[in-house]
Amino acid sequence: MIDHCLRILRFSYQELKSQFQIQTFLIFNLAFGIFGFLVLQIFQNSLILQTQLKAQETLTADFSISTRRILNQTEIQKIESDFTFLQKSETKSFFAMAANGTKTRLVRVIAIDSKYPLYGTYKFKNNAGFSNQQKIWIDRDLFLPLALSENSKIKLGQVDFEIADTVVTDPTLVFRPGGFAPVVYISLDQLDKTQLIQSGSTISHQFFYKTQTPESATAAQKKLSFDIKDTTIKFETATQDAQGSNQILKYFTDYLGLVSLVALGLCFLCGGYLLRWMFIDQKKNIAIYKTLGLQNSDVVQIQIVKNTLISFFAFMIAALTAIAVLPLLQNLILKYNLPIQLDFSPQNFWLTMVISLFVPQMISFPLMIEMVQLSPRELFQSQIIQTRKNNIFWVWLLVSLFSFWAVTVFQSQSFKTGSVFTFGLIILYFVFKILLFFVLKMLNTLLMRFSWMNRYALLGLIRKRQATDLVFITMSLAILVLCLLPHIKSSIIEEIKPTSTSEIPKLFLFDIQPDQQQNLQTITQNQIQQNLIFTPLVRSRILKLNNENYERFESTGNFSTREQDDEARFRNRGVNLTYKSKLSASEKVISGTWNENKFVQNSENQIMPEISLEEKYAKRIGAKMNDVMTFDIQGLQIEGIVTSIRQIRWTSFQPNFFIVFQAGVLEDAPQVFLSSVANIKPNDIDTYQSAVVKNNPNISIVNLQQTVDSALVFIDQMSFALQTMAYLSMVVGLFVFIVLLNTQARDRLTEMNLLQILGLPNRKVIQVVQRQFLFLVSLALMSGLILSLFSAWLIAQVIFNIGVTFDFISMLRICVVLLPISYLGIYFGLRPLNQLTPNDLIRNQ
Amino acid sequence: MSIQIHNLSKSYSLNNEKLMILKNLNAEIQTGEIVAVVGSSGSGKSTLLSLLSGLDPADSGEININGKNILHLSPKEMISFRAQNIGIIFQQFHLVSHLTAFENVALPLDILNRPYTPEDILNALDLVGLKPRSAHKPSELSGGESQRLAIARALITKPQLLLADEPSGNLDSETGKKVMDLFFQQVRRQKTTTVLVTHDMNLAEQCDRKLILQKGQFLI
Repeated sequence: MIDHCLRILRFSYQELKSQFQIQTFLIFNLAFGIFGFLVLQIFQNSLILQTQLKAQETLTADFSISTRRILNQTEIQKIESDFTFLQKSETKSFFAMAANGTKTRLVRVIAIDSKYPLYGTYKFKNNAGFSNQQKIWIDRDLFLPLALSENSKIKLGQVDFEIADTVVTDPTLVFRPGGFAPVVYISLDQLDKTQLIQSGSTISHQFFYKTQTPESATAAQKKLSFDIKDTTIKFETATQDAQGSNQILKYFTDYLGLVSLVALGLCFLCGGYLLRWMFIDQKKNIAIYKTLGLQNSDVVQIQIVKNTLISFFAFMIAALTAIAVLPLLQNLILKYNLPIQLDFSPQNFWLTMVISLFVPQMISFPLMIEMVQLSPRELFQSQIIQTRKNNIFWVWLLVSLFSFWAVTVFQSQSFKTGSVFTFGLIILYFVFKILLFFVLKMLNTLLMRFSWMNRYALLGLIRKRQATDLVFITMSLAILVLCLLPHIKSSIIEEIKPTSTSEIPKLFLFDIQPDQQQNLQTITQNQIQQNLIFTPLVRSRILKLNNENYERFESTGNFSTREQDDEARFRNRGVNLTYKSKLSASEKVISGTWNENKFVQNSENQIMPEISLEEKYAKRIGAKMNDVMTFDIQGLQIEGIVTSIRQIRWTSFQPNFFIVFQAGVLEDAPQVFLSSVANIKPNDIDTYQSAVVKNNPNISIVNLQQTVDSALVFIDQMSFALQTMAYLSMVVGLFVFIVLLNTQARDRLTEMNLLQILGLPNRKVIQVVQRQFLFLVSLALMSGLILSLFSAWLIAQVIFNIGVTFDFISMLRICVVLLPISYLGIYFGLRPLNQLTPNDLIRNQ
Repeated sequence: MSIQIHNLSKSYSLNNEKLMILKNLNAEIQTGEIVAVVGSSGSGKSTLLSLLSGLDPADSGEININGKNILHLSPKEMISFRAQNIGIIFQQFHLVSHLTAFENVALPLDILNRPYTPEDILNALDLVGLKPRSAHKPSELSGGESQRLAIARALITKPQLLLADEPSGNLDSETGKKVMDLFFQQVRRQKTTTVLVTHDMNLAEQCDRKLILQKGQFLI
């Protein structure tokens, strides 16, 4: 047994040694892909680990109860009787306008009691702490927009507050980047004085509990979720809250992971090519080994050992590189204010190693079949016998595709995203293949019009399809990924960026009480000479859709995929309704009819009120025309029938609603109003806001420009990371390209020697191959660029439902960088041709 | 095209040891003459072909082809001279795998930028019996057909000197005989000066003259 193992090891070593340079290429090629994957794993796992570790600090408790309404003492005492706890704290949070003289700014007010926080440490500029119950504590981001100094006072509602201290680090916000309203903490005792909370105000009422152990918090969450079937009350443990709190970062890292899979996929594609190249090179040796008595099982074992050694070296290079660059990445992460301590955990190590060791074995499976089928009789034949693709090959292909799909679902934590990504790549593969087929076919018909050298160069591409396909698809795909991101980014920015000439509102006003409409209209007319249009908002819950219960109760609170998790959150969230007679300019009916008439109770013509749904919303909740929906509006049940489906241009930023009731139904329901201001000069915003807040302190105003600016900073940070990962794909693409050039050059040494013997100078021999690959790279670049435009358009239209704005400057930049690099790649990749020795044709018979 | 070889020597270094392959070799080949070079393995036959084709420099001596010492030609001049005047046939055919039979034969003319018509190529293929296989690639041809294709390619430029290295060495005796009959027929028809390296004494007997190479020298 030991002898056998040693023999297999010796053979493996000899084969690795005999193809040292190509094996080195293979190792580095795999190392590139594994590196990207590993870094992503480290980032993802660190994020999960940190959120778990900081879960109590993020929630400030072991367990919380939260509602979108004020819970009274009787209700909370009834709930609390169901579980035990050590300590309790309470907060109420909502949006409001903070003012300093004429300067105003939307803030999130969190009213806290004296026990807050039960866990976690807030860092303050002057170490004041939440001690002085008469003052407020503010986010440092508030200083600039409100022009504050240390001694300034901030007006919240009816009260002028002194600033107790500035919050430097807020443990509840560490995993919530991109928030658009700075936080202001006030004492719960002071809340009533402000008079900010009125009927219909958007408010979150939370109770926090410290329990004996984290397990007792989980038990309480389960028990309460089971006992209290009220979807307006949310029970969450610290862990569950932590999972929800880093949702944006998780989405981001999931997408980042998919881009890293492109790099990994390209690496394995190239790995597959190199393994095949080596197999063809070694085919004769394998036949000789077999003639000399080597068993099929031995041949396969040798290949497995070789693969294992190569993968292991590649993994080690990737792991060591990752460890080396980790401090650099750590700095980068801290620069973006993410308190994630990157940690190369054993889990990262083992998972990546298993994938690194497993995938090359899987890639070489068809080769192993060919090795077994390889007959030593080939040694007696001058022609190479081509093995046909049998059923096992197709099964292997299916298994490989399924595995890739499974990895993408795992990486994106989403069946939908994983499937779209996998099938998108497969479709792109065929699109590129078909495109190349037609280009080469066209060139074939025009071949005689080219000079001999160009003709010969093109013939090399047309007739050597396997290598041509691989270079073309790899390069095109990498270029597409690289160019796609800037297009998507610019499209999103263009959509959300308000322009001074557009009809997009500059300010949103919400939580307007019915009796404030008149006053607000007067202020608006006086200040900016405009009329406001008020849109009613009625809070409700959907109880039933066609007599089926709509809301979903969680028994454990844990869902296997993001879709299921999102679905439960989505259904239990509650909905905002409105009513109106006329459609706005930003919406159109695409199915059914819009009823402008008022609903008349007990009318013979109409049994129940009509409702109109937004197209995508209807699809998501599974509602269609003539479906009956039952709503709970402040305890009153109201039914409506779907009679129209609308398409809304959301990027108009007009106050639009998913569900619109026919007029004449909800007018008497408890409601607040929304409004927006479109034409206001930037200089007038402060004065206008100040006037509104002074007279109506409970009304919140969102300045769209400020919101967009914070979103842009976030988009910039995220796109930078995605772009970096896309560059890794490109580097891999270039590496694949150089490897292919090199193997092609080696494959063609005899051919090139022959050309030289037939009279072609060495310079021209190299030029033939250079022209061939220059053409191929240019074609791949063009195809990648064009398809990136098309893909960006498709994604913008279909996924984001926005207009596309192409980023031609980035495209140009990518071309300017890539072309010389590719040409350098061609120069270096074809170096073996510099040492052409035509004499070999005679000497090495 | 006549060839005069004067005191031609060639050695190679192997592990710091100098191996003398050809020692003061002298020979003369007349225009249109078909000369066989025979000798055992390692006698220097392939080295002689390398030197005659200008692919390898000599240590000393002269190779005068039509009175011009090719050893004094620059690499650029040699490439041009070889392309214009010398055809080479290899034991292992060395055809371009992705080109068809037609394209393989046309290749030297393309490189020399000599005008040709499809009929010229088809005629050349016809002469070696491969006209019906003109659209086939080397992988679709048998060994005998591949070598006949190599002969057609070597003769398409009408070289004045043909160097053939064991052209039937890779073929069975029957196929080899057929190919060599065709070979002799073609070179005699074109009156091409030919140097044929072979182990096969029967083949050597069919040549006008044979030179026996032993330990780097011709036996007299």
